[in-house]
Amino acid sequence: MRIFRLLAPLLAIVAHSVAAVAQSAPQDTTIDLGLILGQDVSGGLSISSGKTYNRVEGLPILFGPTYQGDAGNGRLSISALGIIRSSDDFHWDSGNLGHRLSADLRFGRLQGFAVGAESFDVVSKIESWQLNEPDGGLAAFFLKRDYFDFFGSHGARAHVSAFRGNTTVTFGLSDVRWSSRSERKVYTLFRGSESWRENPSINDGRAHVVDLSLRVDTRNSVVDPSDGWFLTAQYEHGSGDFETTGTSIVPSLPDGRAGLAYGRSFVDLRRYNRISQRRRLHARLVLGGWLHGDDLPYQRRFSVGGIGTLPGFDFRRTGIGTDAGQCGSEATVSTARPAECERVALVQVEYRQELVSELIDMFNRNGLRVRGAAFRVKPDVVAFADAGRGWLVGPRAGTLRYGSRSVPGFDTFRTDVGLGIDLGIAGLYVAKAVSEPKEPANFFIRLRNRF
Amino acid sequence: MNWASVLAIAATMLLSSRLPAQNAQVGIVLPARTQLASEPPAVRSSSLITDGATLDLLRNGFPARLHYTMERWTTGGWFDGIAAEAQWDVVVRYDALGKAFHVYRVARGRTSLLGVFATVAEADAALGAPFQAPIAPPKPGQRGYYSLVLDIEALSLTELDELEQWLRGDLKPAVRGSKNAGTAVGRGVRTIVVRLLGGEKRRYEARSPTFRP
Repeated sequence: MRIFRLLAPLLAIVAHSVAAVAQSAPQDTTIDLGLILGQDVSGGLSISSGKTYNRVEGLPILFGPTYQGDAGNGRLSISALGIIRSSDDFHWDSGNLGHRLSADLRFGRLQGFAVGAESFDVVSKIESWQLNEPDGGLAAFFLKRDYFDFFGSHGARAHVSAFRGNTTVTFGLSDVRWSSRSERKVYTLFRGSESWRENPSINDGRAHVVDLSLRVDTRNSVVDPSDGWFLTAQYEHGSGDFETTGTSIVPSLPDGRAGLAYGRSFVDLRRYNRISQRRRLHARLVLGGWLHGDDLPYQRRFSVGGIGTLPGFDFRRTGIGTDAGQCGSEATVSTARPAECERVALVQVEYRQELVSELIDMFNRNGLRVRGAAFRVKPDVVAFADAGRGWLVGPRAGTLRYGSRSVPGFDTFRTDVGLGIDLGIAGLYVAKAVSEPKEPANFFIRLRNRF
Repeated sequence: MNWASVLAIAATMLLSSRLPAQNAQVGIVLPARTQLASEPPAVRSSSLITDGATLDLLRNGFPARLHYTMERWTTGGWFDGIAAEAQWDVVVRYDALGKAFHVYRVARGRTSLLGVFATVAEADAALGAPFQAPIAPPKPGQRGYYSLVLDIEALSLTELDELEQWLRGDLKPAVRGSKNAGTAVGRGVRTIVVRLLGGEKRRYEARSPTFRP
C-alpha cells in the first residue's frame, strides 16, 4: 500500500502533463496518422487520472474498457470506467469509489450533431472556471493549497449537441444527487503536518437540471493563443428539495429542507490579440449568477479572489470591509468560508511582450536540461490588471446585496495590478491589490497562461 | 508559496544534466523579393530528432511526430490578423527489425515517404531539407509576416505507457531490490517535473521579418 502512496502523486502529475499535451495537440490536418503507424484506435482497457489532485479525492484513477468505432454514419464512443481515489491510502469505502459510464454517438466531422448519455458518481468542483489544471492540482500536491471546493455528484445525464466549425450548442437533462464531501487524508510533498482547508458543506439533495450551453472557440492555439475568440455561455435550470444545514438558506418545507427552483447563467468571454510580432493584448470577461426563481444552492454559487481571478487578494480573504469575494453575510453559518455570491463579475486584461536578446538565444542553444530533456525558454514580460466582485441578490443592503436589476458600482470592485515573467515553461508573477492598498503583494507561479 | 518551496522545485529542475544538445534549429526562408506574392516560404531545420531523449523514444518504439503550423499574419490595423494558415506533419518511425528510420510527410491530404535511412542523422537531414509550406502567399501590397510553430512529441505516449515505462525503467529494479527505492522515487519526482514543465513535448517557433510584396 505504501508504494501506492508514492505512486499516487507521481501519477497525478504525469496525468496532468499528459492531459496538457493532449489538450494542446493540434488536430490531424490530413489523414489519420494511425493509418501510417498501424495503431489500434478502437479502444481497449484504459487507465487514466481524473486530471486533478485535491484534498477530497487525492488522485482519482479511472480504469475500465473503452471503445471507439463506426456505427452506421456515426462515430460511437463508449466507456465504462470505475474510479478509485487515493485519499486515506486508497481505503476501500464509498467515498473512495465511483464510476463514469458514457456513450456518445457523433455524426459529421466539421458539422453535424451528437447524442449521448452518461451515468456518474464523481467529485465535482464548485467553481471549475477559476483556475486551470494542472495549476490547481499541483498547488495541492506540492504546497497543500487547494483552491477549489468540492461536492459529490451522483446521477445520470442525457445530452444532444449540434456543432459547426468552432461552434457547439449542447442541451442536456440531468437527474442528480448532490452531496457534501469532507476533506480526507491526502499526501502532499510539503506542509504535510498542516491541516487542509475545510471543504464546506453544500445543500445536499436530488435535483433535476436542464442545461443549455454555447461554446465558440476560434483561438489559434489552446495553450498559448495569440488570436481568436473563446466564449462559453451556459444557462441552467435546476429544481429539487435540498438540505439547509450549514448554509444560510432558510428551510421552507416541514422536514427542514428547502424546495428550490432556480435559473442560473454563466458567461466566460475571452479575446486574444496580437498587436505586433512580439506584443499581445488579451482580455477576459466573466459574468455569472442567479437569473430567476429561488436562491441558488451553495454548490451553484460564485466567488472571486486568489491566483485564478484576483491574485492581488489572498484566496478566501475576509476582513477587509464588505466581503465582495465570497459574500459571507451576517447569516453565514459555515466557518469554511464557502463561495456564497449569487452573482459575480470579473474583468481581466493582460499585456505580453516577448523578450529577445542574444543572451536568451545563447541559452536556448543548449537549453536547460533535466534528465536529458532540454527546455527552451521564450520569456514574455506580462503586465496585467484585474477587477471583480461578487454580490447577493435581493433588497438592497449596503454594498453586499443589490436588486436583481442592479449592478454594483465599479468603485466597489476589488482591483489589482501585477507584473510577471513567463518563461514559457512556467511564469513567476507578483500582484498587488489596488482597491485595498494595505494588502501585501502576492507572489505566485503559474504553469499555464493566466487565461 | 514560500521561497523554500520555489527553490526546491528549481533545484529539482536543475538536477542531473547530460551532454549539451546539438543546436536544434527551425527557420523560415522567404522567396526572392519579386516572388513574395506568388510563392510560399520554405521551412528548413536541423538537429530536431538527434537529441538523446528523442532518439531513446524512437528506438524504444515510440514514433516521433513533428507537427508544423504556419500562419500568415497581416499588419496595419490596431491588431495583427491571421490571413492564412497551413498545417502539416512529419512522422519518424524506427523499424527495429530493419534497423532503419522511416520518414513520412503528411501534407494537403497526401502522405509521402521521404525515405528509409540507416542513421538518425540521415533521417534528420531528410526531414530538415527545405520544404515549401502549403500556404497561400499574400496579395501584392499586403504587408505581413509568417509565423511557424513546430511541436515535436512522441506518439502513443498514453498514461498507461507512461506508467509502464516508469515501472520498467525506474521502479521495477527498486522493487526487486537491485536499486535503491529512494533513488527510484527521486528519479520519479524529477520525471514529474520534466513532464509537468512540458519536457516531453518540445516546441520551436520561428517568424519571418515583416515584408510587403
